[in-house]
Amino acid sequence: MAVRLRKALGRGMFLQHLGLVVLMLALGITLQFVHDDFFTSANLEVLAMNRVFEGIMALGMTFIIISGGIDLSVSSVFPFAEIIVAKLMMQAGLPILPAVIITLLLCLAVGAVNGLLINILRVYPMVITMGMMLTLRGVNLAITNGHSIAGFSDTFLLLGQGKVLGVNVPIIFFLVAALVLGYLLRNHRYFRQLYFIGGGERAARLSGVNVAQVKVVIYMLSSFLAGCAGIMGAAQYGAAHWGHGNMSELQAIAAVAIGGANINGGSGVIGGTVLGILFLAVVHNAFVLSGINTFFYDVANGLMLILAVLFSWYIERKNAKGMLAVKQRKLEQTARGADGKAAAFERA
Amino acid sequence: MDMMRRAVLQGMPVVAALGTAVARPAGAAEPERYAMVVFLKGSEFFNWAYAGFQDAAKTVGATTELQGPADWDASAEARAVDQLVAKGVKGVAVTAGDADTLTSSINKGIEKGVPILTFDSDSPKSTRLLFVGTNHFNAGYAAGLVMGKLLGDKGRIGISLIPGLDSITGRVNGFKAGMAKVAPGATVVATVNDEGDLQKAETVNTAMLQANPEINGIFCGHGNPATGAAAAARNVGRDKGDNKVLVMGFAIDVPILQMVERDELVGTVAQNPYLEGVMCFHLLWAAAHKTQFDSMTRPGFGNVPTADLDTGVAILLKGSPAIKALMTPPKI
Repeated sequence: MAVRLRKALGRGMFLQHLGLVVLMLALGITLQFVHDDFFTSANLEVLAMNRVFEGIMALGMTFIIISGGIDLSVSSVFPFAEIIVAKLMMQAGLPILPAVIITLLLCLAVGAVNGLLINILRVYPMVITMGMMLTLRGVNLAITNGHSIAGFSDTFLLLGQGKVLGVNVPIIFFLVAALVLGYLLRNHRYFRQLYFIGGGERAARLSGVNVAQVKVVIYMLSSFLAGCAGIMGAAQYGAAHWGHGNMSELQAIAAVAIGGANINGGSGVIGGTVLGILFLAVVHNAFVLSGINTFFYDVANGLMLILAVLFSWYIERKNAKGMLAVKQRKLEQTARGADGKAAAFERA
Repeated sequence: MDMMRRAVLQGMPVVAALGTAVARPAGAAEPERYAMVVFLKGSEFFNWAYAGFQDAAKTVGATTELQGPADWDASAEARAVDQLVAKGVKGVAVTAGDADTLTSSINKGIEKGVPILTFDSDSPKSTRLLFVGTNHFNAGYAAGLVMGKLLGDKGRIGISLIPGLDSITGRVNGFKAGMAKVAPGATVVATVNDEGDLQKAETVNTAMLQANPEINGIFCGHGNPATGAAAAARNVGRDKGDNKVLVMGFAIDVPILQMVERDELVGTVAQNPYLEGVMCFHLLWAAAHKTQFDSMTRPGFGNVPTADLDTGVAILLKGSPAIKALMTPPKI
């Protein structure tokens, strides 16, 4: 199975994933010996919940990064969804289901706007999504006047605080979403196109891929997932506030990069993202358990991201050299002909 | 791959051995650990609070830690409280970046028997033990007394604030009451929304002074606008002389204290974050250590007051001894 996994991922990414697993286990075991409280159910629960919303956003971000794009607006879509669902329930008096559906539709619209603007204006996605992030941040502040909205029903709170078989609902959502999206990314022809687009957008377009449509779809997916995270966030915290999810886009991007995706596009897997977000959660938990100043957590985060990008770059270069060598061999073979002899012009 | 597998399998016992080597020896008593959670880690105000918390802990041999986001994210604060409760700290002092967001985490911690209180910014709907901090009405009242005495019945005041915040509303109400006590003829002429932004504060205060030339005093309802209000007085040429606008700040940041010493501000309302930290620790300690009688109001915890604790304010004017002390950042 390890051999199949390695073939599927490529040697570089397999090593990266293995490295992450080994590091996490090493950290966990060390913390358990030193502090005696890593592998407690209480700690594992807070560890998982600490980064679950960023994890959900990271799933959507994986699709975007594979395609060569980026989505900075998720950190504003998250509180936007919180606030909209809260307003619809508490101020407009809507039942939970219609409020959730309308909120998700609005989030899909945000993603569609992102995708359309990126296509029409042909500007770097970072610029468009940054603009959307700032716009939504202003909207969030304006429509709440800086106040939080609370007082949700117990039924709604179950979306964030409820448990099924002892597992928190947001964690179940994350795992199910990861499985479904991972399957689609690996096996569905439509989403496989992302790798072509990320590898070379022009070539993909010339090969018949509807790049514009795919981009709109994946930005809608990203905003949809951020919206789902926001709705569960409002339920988890019992309040919707404009400041929730601050800087979460950076955590999501870091998780995808640490999970082995090429930040320039063309490679990445959902499993890697899951490992990446788990790794960030374990490291943060290590800082809290050890009582180390959590300012250094951002230093660690940043360094890990840089290392992950460097490792990706190294693997990309190695692969490129490998591809070049293969092309060279094929050219030489063609020049020699099928019988292995030199071609006529060479013989002459 | 075989090499890799071997390396991993051989490495694990090494890591385990290392862990054992640094693990605490059997039977060693670990000092009690208390935590403070803030919504803006790195802010000078909270550094003062943590310094007080830390110093108080040292007197009983306890250890402390400071947690919380460096950017204003109340949800990250809530998660920090959850983590600390799971970690098993003896008590948590938290300042609520958003009152509602912290409610659930505080309640869960209290249910698990961890003493939790709020300071500086409260979460009143939660089951926290009590709130330690400035009584906002009293703080505004003290400022109103001083401005009323300085300006008398000719006082015409403009107020710079962020609308809708309970803490600021309390301060403004207190200010009006304090001023009315000593200068019943003084009035509040205008109120502007500075949105908590320095540059915005300059713009709106300048506009306020231009629209209301009778204003001879500005009260800043929170920490941010003082610099902007002083700049506004400069912009309209009323930063010195007989027509000077007296600006009262509401912060103990070093630049504000320097402005007081330079006469750019008439004074500043100084809360006492150090005392907040000291009292937070002592109350958590009391809650974590039951005596022969359990708490009547909070069974399972040691005895602590149920009423909020007002740590008070001082109005610092030019030459106040406290200004010099506050100029040196706290050691944490």
